[in-house]
Amino acid sequence: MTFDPQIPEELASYSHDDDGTAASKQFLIREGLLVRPLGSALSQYRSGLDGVANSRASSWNRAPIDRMANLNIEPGDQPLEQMIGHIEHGILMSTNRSWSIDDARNKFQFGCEWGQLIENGELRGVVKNPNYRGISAQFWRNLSAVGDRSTFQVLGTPNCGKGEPNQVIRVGHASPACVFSKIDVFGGDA
Amino acid sequence: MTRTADQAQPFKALVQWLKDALRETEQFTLSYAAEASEFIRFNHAKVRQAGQVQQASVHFKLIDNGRHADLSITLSNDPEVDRQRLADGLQQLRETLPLLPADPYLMLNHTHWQSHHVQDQPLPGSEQVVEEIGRAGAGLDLVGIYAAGPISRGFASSGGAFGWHQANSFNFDFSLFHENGEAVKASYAGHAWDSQAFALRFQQAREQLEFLGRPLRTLAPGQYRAYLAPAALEEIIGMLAWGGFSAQSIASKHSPLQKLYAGDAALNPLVSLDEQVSGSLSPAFSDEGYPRSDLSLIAAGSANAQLINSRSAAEYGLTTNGAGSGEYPSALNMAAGQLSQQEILKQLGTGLYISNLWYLNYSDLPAARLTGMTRFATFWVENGEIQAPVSTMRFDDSVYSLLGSQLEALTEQRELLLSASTYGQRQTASMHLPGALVSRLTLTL
Repeated sequence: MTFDPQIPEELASYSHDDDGTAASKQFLIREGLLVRPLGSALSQYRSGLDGVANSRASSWNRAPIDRMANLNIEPGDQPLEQMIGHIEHGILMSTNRSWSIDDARNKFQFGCEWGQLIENGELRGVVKNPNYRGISAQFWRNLSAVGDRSTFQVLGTPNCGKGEPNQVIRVGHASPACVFSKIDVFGGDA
Repeated sequence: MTRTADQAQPFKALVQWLKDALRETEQFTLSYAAEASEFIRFNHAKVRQAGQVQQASVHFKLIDNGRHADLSITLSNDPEVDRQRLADGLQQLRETLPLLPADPYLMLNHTHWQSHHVQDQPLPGSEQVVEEIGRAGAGLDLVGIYAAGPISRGFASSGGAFGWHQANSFNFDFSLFHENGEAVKASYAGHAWDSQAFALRFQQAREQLEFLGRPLRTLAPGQYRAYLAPAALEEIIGMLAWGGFSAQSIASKHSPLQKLYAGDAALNPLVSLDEQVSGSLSPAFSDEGYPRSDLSLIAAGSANAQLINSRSAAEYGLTTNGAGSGEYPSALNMAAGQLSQQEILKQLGTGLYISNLWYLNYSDLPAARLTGMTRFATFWVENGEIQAPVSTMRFDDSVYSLLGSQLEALTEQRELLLSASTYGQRQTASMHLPGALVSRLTLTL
């Protein structure tokens, strides 16, 4: 997982953050281990840890604070067809429409507008409003495949809120398709 | 910090200039928003960051032969500079209009309504506030933000309508953290800072903090009796406000309350919800230029009025009732029940006392099913007595259950909860809500 401010079409790409620190691509998690947290120059000074150039203000009327910027998952080595082909029973989640997570970023739930059932390695029909929930550490330990660059999409949101006084800001999330096992999935009437 | 000058004069001057500059077939609407805000952020009950923001802007719509275009202009508070910016904006809109088609859903209000509200209650000096907060929070892990100052909103049209709303307010939104990571969240907000009232509010939070020191109770997913304090209920009602009462959302089937408005579902007869504009903190006029009136949105569990702005009125053949462009309520008032404060724990018996909920979103919007977290000061209660704080849990349940079949009682005492939102600008929305006792809340994770 990387902090990457250098993908031109991604929402939070920039050369310097709002403290004036030069921004460059950095691995945050490499091969499953946290190697560097998010944290701008001031946070690096206070914590004694390495960080990234992520001090950002939403506008002239708000002070810069540590924010996400472009937070990406690096591509793996499998095309989508191969990943689906290895799934006996699952859901292809698409079009996220709902998100909720606790303040420790631990217990999460996401809802999608649309999905497809996967049976014996093949896509089978539409699934409406599939939701999934879990606990972050367990969820990421259940990551079983990462899609290659052909599955990689640059996404993000223009209105991520945080801070006091409140600030709404653009964040980018680029990611390949990923496969997770043992996920609690439910639908409209669960 | 006290600012009581008549801030309407600069806006009136811009309106007059625009009226004089208008060509015969042109019309305009001009809405105004300004604030002079003090923001003081606290960590460990000490000032972590302090700043002031003074800002003013107008949103300018030019109309000509059914075509219209808008732009926003940041004002400088220098009359000549602002007049020039408005002139530049007028020129830009005049160049834009011929490029646009006529808007079939444009419905202007041609009445000459007038509205004027100025509340200039003096606010306390920041030194006093910092001193009182520091004294109350000495030795505690207090984090929070104090936001205060005057807020102004205005509206004027070429047709002669004029509205002005100006009010001083403060909002101290804070949390007290226990060393085990659990926290109590509370706020003290209003127009008149009362040291005794603040001390009382702080003491209530401090008492809850002491309960958080007990060993955490971890609950299994399942169904539990629960009491939702007004601040917790605010999160649920706030989600319903997100399109729930909007005529556009209801007509396009995007409202979480579409089943209620279609008559296919009902809430508990205890539930009555009004948009109570009169006497509220929000302006008595909408950003698109219609006077707002009090509305009954839900009466005894059944759908009543929708929030209808002029575009929805034109598109769906309805009559506008002064809703703003987003058709959000901004002064919700929920009817009280009969459960007294002293009886809450006793009536709850065994279950959850939930002070706040956090990060809600829809699991199933058409079914009004919500998910979210307990975060601050949630307690396990047995036989009417608080036993232990509860570790953070996720709930997932339908509004038709929580405020419908499973609602047992609402409290007779309500809380006025002022919005602490400061996205872009300080907000004027509020909710006046009771607490809710429910016989079943579903915890999932």
